[in-house]
Amino acid sequence: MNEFEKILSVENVGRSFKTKAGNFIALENINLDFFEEEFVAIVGPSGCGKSTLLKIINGMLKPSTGKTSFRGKALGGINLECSMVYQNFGLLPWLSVLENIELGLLSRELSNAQAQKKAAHYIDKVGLDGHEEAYPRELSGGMKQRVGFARALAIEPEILLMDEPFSSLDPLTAINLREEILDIWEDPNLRITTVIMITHQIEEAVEMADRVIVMDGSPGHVVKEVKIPLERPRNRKSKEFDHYVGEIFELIT
Amino acid sequence: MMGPIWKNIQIKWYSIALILVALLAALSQTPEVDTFIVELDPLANSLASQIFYSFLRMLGAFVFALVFALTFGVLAATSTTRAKVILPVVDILQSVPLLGFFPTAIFWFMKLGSAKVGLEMAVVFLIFTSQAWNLVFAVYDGIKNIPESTKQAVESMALGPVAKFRRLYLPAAFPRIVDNAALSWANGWYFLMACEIIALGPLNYEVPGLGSVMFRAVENSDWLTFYKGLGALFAVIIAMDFFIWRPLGALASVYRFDFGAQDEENSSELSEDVLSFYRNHWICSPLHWLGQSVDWIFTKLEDSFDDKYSPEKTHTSKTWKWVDACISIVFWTGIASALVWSSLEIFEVLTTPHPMTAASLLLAIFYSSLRVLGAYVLCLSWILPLCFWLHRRQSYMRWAQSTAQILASIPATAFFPVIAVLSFRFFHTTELAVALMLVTGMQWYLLFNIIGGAQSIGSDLKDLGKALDLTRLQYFKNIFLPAIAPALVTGSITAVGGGWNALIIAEYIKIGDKLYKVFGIGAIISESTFESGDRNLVAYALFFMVFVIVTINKLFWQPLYSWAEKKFRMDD
Repeated sequence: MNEFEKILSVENVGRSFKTKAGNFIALENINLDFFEEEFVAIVGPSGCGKSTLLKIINGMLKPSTGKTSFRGKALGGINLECSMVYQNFGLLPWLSVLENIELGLLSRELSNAQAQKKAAHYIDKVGLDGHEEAYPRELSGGMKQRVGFARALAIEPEILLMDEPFSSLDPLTAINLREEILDIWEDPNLRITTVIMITHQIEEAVEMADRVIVMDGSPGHVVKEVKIPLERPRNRKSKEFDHYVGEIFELIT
Repeated sequence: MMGPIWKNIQIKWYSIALILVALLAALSQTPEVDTFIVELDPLANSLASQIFYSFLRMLGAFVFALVFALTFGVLAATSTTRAKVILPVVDILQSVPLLGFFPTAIFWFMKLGSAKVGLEMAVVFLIFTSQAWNLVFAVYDGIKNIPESTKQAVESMALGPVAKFRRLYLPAAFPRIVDNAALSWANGWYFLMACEIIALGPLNYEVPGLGSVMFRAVENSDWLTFYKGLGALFAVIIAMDFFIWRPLGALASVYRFDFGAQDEENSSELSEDVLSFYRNHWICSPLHWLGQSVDWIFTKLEDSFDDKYSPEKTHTSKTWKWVDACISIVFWTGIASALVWSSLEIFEVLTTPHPMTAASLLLAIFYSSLRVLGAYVLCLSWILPLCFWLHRRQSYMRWAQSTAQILASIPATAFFPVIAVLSFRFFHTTELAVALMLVTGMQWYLLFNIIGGAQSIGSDLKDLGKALDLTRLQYFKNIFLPAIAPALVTGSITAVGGGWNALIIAEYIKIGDKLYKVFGIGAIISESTFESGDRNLVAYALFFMVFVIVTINKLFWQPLYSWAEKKFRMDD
């Protein structure tokens, strides 16, 4: 059914944490496949293990049970083909815009000059040129998130992971950035082929994603996957749009 | 309500026991040194060289303290299990008068080298104990307060351990380290002076340094030299403030995580000015040079060490698991062997009967406690009215604050010999001298905390006082006192802690041939170390003192603090 190649798969993944109250099961029996050239949104109530799932996909967290594989190979650590964007940006206040982006390239085998060139390229790409030497505290929320995107893009990953990337931005900035991210994803010159985004705004998920994964908590599990076969750019006011929003809304509540 | 407190105390008791036995073990291992070798160096080199000696000791101790704090702060911040052991232990060490262990430390270090080197090492070690503990908490807090998203972002970058330490942990802890470093140096000066006094007095050792110069000056009634020494000490402290702590403080503001605070604009502009001034000034070039060499070392370390780190294999990699396991094994065997060894030692000490009974030791502690309490009341009796007066006259507040800060920067111990000599000369009582010394050792903690508390009283509360037409006394009782209660308790805890430390020296001061001594636990410790050489008695005395102080802290001050904090907190 899917003509694109499978890039990432999550098989029977579960994750539990030890807490004072005993064992807390954050995720149970998660089975998901992600494909090339796909934009996937994950929605669900807070505490349903969305962020834990993202950390497992990224390889920062080892699943308690099951496994994740990237292009058919089991993941044994951090997946260097993934990069992350965070709701609260995750920038280091003591580094300039350029240095923040270069930091992400530190573990890739690049010379300083190469890293700097790459960072400068992506600063330009996200429209931050002229702000290379600025510090995060001097930037607005939207610009901080652009730095976050540039940092993620500079790694030139195949998969872009986003944890509520637009939630702490004002609505207008969010609209612009959403469009830009879709452009970046569709840009054939960039390596990024798959985007996985966590959000709790259903409209945002329906507007951007090809497929919405609906999760629920205690313990975190997948309720249903909803395909959104609408043409882009999508009209938030159309009937079909409303239909999908309604369907997902019902699944969550 | 009772639940958490008791639970808390139980966890702490475990660590208290651990620390007590470990310290006592160290004590009873004291090598026998029968006679002291009197070794008077010809003093009277220039004052500058004496300052240099003192400063060098401070610097050495501070480097050790910093390395210690970074090691244990990072160890604690990166593992909750390790934190459960490290934090309570450091907390206890912070609240125990470690000056009491100076005599023992001297014996210990003399065993390691020649008398001179041993003494020097003991002094540096003691200064270290006055600087390290708050730095450990600074490093721990700094790392713990890294925002979750930043922590994750750096985690996902797959940096090696050295790179992570250099680029995340160290910068994140930097502002708190700077905040605490100035405090550590103040504590260090206090201990340095104390050590030089103890060494020169009862031990009759010459530790070349500023404290010794001033001590000698008092001994010979050479007031000119005393004032010169005081002035030199003061100059060093002010110079350090201006050329080290201020630029570092301005630099630290760059490393703070608070994005977009309201008055951010102003403060960052200010620090930008300060920074650029220092950046271009030659006098700060040692700081630049230091920063660059640290950077260079880290680059080398990163190159050689982090290359072996493969982020794709963190879940399975044997080498890194192995390294991690090694760290854990070293850490926990260290803890366990300290526990076992010290339990054996304490058993030996406590099963050896001693002529001086527990009762008389407790009596000594009781006398000493009374002195601390008396000095505390004395402090309060001038500080509370002053702060209340200043609170109602805000125009004087700023002026008073900066004056107090300058006065407080001189270590109180520098005045101890002169207090002892003068109060005996004029009032013929050592008891008064002890009380005054305790006051000088305690007052600043109270003053700064209470001023801080008073400054946090909002104008709404002041207006309320006016609107209700309260008398001065009513205002004091109903608004001022409750508002400063949490700050008062914090100030009291630190002041009493400072008092116990001061007590160790104050109860037994020897100047020339004259001995100023009162009956108390501090005097017993000094006397049994320096005169009778009774090491079991030292062990008993230290054990009881630590036990009493820790017990009072845990059962009185800490519950009082949580109560005051809960009941009188200002913000909603």
